[in-house]
Amino acid sequence: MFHGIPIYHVLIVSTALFFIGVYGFFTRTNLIMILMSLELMINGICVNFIVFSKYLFPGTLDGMFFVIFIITIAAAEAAIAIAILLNLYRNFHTIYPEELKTLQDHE
Amino acid sequence: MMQVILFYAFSLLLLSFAIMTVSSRRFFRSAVYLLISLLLTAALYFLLEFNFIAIIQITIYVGGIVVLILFSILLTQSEDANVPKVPWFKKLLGMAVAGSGFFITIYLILQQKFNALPDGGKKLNISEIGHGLLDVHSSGYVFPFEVITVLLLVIMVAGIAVAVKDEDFKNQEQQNNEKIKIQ
Repeated sequence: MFHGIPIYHVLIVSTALFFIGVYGFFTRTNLIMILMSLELMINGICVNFIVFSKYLFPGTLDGMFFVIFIITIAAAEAAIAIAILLNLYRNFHTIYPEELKTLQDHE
Repeated sequence: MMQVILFYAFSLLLLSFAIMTVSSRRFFRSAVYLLISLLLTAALYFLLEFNFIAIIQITIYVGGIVVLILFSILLTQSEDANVPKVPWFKKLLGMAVAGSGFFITIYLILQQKFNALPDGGKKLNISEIGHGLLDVHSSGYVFPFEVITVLLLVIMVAGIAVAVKDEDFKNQEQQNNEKIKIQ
């Protein structure tokens, strides 16, 4: 109980955020949109870590360092993903994964 | 009391903007909704008194990642590009997967009994975080710090490797362009 907010409510918010990201990940057909859904999922996970650190282990640093780690990896992942994406667009003129068939054995 | 009201208002806004992010059919609007939902997450961190994480969230996510995403939208899409319409069975399938996962997780969470500890009024300040990051003793976190630094080095090398084009690659690209023109 923190300021009268039960832990379950915060956990429900973070779980909902994660699964909204999962929904976007499954339904989007565009690589940029998939990346954005991924960011939402990562965000939900970070909220989860912060909540557990706040309610169950107050005063310790573990949850905070997990979140710092995750945010660093998310930034690195976004940078690399967008570099690859721009290269893909330069070579194939599309960012829809269903149209990228060069590595498959079609044709 | 104020904080409780703010928490529920922020989380309601956060979830609605997240839903708009994954359902909007305009690229730019979707990115702006993502930006707003990331800012609202930072607001939640402020409410939970994790000020340092909130600042990191704003500078790295809102200032870095969303700007990168906006640039890549600008570079790859024409101005009024819409996302193609998703077929209804795919939407239904996604909803089924996400919904069932959500309800299973919520069911498991609600069955747990969490013993929330009293806060004790102890607040983490930034110097404590810095000491924790560089502490080599058993209570320190120098190992994850080192892992992050190595990871960032690898990412920098990978970014340069992806960005640099050599001559063979250029020729191949020209051939590809010709192929596309012929098609």
